[in-house]
Amino acid sequence: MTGVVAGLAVVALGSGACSDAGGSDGAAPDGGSPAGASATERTAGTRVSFGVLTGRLPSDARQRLSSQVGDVVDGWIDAAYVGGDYPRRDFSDVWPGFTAGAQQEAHHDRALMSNEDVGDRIDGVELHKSTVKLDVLAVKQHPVGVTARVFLGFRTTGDVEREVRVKGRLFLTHTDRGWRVFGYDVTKGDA
Amino acid sequence: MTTPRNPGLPPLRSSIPRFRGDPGNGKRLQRPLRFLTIGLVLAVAAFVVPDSAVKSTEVALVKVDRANGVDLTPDVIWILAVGSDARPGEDMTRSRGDALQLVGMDTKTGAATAIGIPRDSWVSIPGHGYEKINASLYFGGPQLLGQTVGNLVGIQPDYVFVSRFKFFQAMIRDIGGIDVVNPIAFDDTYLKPEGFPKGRLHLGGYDAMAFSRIRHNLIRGDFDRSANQQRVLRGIQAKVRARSAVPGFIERGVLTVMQHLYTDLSPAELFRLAQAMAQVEPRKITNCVVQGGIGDIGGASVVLPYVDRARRLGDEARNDATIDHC
Repeated sequence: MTGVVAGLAVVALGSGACSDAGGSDGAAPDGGSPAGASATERTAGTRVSFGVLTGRLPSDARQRLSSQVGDVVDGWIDAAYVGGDYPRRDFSDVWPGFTAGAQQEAHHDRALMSNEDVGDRIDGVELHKSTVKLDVLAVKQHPVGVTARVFLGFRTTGDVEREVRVKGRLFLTHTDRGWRVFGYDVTKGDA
Repeated sequence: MTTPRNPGLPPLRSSIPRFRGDPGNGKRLQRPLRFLTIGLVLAVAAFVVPDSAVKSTEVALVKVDRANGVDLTPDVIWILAVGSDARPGEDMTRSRGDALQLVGMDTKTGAATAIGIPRDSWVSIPGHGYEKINASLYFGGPQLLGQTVGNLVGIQPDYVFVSRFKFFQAMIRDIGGIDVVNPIAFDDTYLKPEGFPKGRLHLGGYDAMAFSRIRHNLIRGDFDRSANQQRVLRGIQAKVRARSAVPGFIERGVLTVMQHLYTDLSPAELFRLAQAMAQVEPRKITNCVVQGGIGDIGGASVVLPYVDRARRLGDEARNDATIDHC
């Protein structure tokens, strides 16, 4: 078990967040600023940073958002790819932070949205890289929507040894159960 | 291993009431239609027509598979996109709809379809007798227009978007213009005296507006104009889709829309809707225009829509936002 989920975010965003916006992308119509500053290194190794912030969001709200969304994304990464005891066949419930409808969609796409395609032929997963960048829509200084850009690199061991890259976007909104993934656009392939 | 689980998480509900079908029973539907007076006319539908579903893509020597999906309720969402003819200072929710496109989107399959309604269609407007369909916006605002179009096609829209020309043009400029394929040259003395040549065209804000509005020297008048509006929608979709993966693009678009929008939707609902629209698969987009005869009523030229055919289009598209044959 890699424990990607295990760690609490060691949030050190300070007043900003990391920006990869590259110029005008960060300019928000209401005067919101491009996200800036540092990334957050979670104890499990997942780096959570901010991409483009549209609207205004106070630093404390950024910290909470980074931690909460990071937990959701880590929950998926851990359950679907790098956690668990391999070999394994059961990938039926590996989208813990997804809405029910999104879980159904992901189940249809389980070969991509998890390691279901090789799970029974590997004996472990070595995580190399796990990063999440958050593009945030904030209204009245509250985050209302997040696009989490995910990059995950790991190596499988066992009968199937390969370098795998998972890359894409998760779409999240806040519900009464916290931040939840309601949609995704993800690619998975060999490195 | 302590993988977290989240049992029993219910699907997100957008609380959008569904009142589908049975439009011809004469019963007035008292549904709280979610209408949005936006700035994007066709532009919402612009957002509306972007990519989804599972697909495989070969990238260099590496096989990369892609999966995408969006959880939105209901699965098939219907949006009436309205281009208002309101002049500056006029209330566009009480003007006349100059462009009417009923756009459906299946968030599970990524399919989308646009059913064009000729502006001059002579129809029964609930509570107001027979009139041109676009007058229903003037009589009863977006709610009544949505109901009237819904009665014609047999699909009640979940949302009505209304935009005026100025915002539409600005939106086209903001996304860098659009490309359309024009099947036949046409012009207009007032809007575009030099005309639009046949072939692939790049349209800026003004030209996209003119391309959508010109009718008089089109061979089939209102029908061809509606088809041109659908070409503009496709062009907008292609541009939006191409930029949807740009960090912050969707978020900025939502915020911009909110600033020009009267709506009872929450920002989160708009965000979900926008992301769903951005997942529409262009190859799964179909278009049709409601056909009809030409008549003269009280000295005014009108379109007498073939209601049975309109209903057939609605029946075909209702559950999967796909029309195989116009």
